Formats: sequence, structure tokens, C-alpha cells
Amino acid sequence: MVGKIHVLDELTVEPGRLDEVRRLMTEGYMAGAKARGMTLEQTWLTPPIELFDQPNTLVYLWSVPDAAAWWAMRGAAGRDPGVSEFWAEVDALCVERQRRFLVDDQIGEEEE
Amino acid sequence: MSRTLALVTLLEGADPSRVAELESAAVLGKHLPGTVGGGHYTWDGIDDPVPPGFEDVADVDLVELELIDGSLADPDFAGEIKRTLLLRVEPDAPADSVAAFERDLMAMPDHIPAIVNWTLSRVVGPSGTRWTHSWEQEYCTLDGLKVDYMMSPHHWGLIDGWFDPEMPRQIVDLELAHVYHPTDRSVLAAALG
Repeated sequence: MVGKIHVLDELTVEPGRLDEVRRLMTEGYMAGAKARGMTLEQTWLTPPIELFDQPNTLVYLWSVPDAAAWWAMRGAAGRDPGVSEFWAEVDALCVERQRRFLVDDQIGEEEE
Repeated sequence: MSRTLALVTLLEGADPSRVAELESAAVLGKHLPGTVGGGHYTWDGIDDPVPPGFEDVADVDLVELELIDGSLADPDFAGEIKRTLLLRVEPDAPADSVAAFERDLMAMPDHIPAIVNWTLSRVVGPSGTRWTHSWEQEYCTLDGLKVDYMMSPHHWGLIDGWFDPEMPRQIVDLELAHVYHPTDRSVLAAALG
């Protein structure tokens, strides 16, 4: 049984556009994500200082409680055309974007 | 070899006695609650989808299917659920993405044992149809579809990325026909025979 699911967004941003993407995420995504049941767990920047001649990557780690909540999140995003429009706006400022889904690895527990 | 499948939608306010007549005269799978985007019945190519003279139908969305691959793990399947997903891959989707999407779909039965029999088909007609693929499965129970299939990490963690508007690799249009109905026999056996 899958419990908590993490959603990992990696946004590799064009040099010089970092603040624009941060602002878009803060003002254009976070409230909607919360309404869709996503909890923001952590954000990171790598490399850990803004570069001006190379891309930086912004990393957002979200979570939803379980698979049912994952489908609720997914269904709500699918019904809102603003979500895909938002990502199109972000993608225009990025050289690459990925979203991955992660669950706890069970290997350690089996050995106990 | 191709076969046909149709999604039948009744007129709003269709005469119940005429609907009962339709259900007794045609070989139709009556959709269960939870069906999305595909009308009231699935017709799986046996006899006529709608008997001549029946006027209470709003739409017959008929598609011609050409099998990509499938598996008849249980030729004696006696029910109880047949599910059809009609979908449209965006016309500008890269060919290698389409091939990877088809491979991923066809790997689902390896990860979800509740899928008994299955087919993946290309929609090859009629001209002007909005659909490009038909993904069909048969399950022994409704939970096989609603729990084993829908809640599998293989589904939400991998396959859905092709459908999800938040994912960069989305290639499938959001408008789908996800329909399922009770059945007491394998309707995919003929397609795979």
C-alpha cells in the first residue's frame, strides 16, 4: 500500500530569469496547488548561487497523502485550463523541466 | 484485420420504453456510473449498434480499430467488466514519444494482474474521427478496474505522465472516453482470435 507521495519539480531556468520563475511559482501556482491538496515541503536552488551565464535549477518538493489524494490533485489540474497555461508560461523561461513522483523505498524495511 | 466499436449516446429524455426496446434488441454494454465522456452504451461490433427505426439516439461515435497488440490470458472469461478508453494523441506528438507511450500502455498488464484480457488498437477510421487509440481491458471484478488499475503506482506514477497537463511529456488530449460496463463474456476474444 502506497502512503505519502512526493512530487518533485525540477525547473532548469534560463540564465537571468530566476526571479521571474520564482515569482511565477509564488504568485501563479502555490495557492492553486494548495487548493488541489499539495503541501509544499521544501524548495532548493542548485548550484547554490545564481549564475548569470549558465542555467540554475529550482527544485520544489511537494507531497500528497496517498494515491487517492494524488488522483484528486490530478483531476483538479485536468479540469483547470489555467494549470497548463501556467506551465507553458514557466516553460518559456526554462531550458528543461521535469516532474517526478516518489514513494518511500521499502528495501530497508524488508531487512528488519 | 480491423473491427468496429461504437459509443452510443441517447437523446436527453429518451422514451424509457423505447430504451428498454433498444437494450433488448441490440448487443450493447450499458455503462456504469463513473464512466466519463462516452455516452450511455458501448457497442462491440456485434450486429447493428442501433436497430433500424430507433430514433432516440443522439450520437453513435463509431471507430474502426486496427490491433497493435493484445493478450487473451483467459479465453473463457465470463465477466464481469469490459473497459474501453478512447483517446487522442496530439497530432504534433513526436513519433518516438508515441511509440514509448504505446509500449508503456502495453506493459501495464505485467504490473497489474487484475487486467485479464486486453488490446491496444489504432483508430484507423472513419476519416474525421477525433480518436487515435483504443485501450481495452477485461476484469473479473469492478474493483479490478477501480482499485487495482486506478491505484497502481505504475498507472499514476508512470502511465499518467502521458496524459497529465502538468507533465512536460504529455501527448494525450485531455478529452477522453473512459467507459466500462458489465459483461458475461469476453468481447476481446474475437479481436484476438
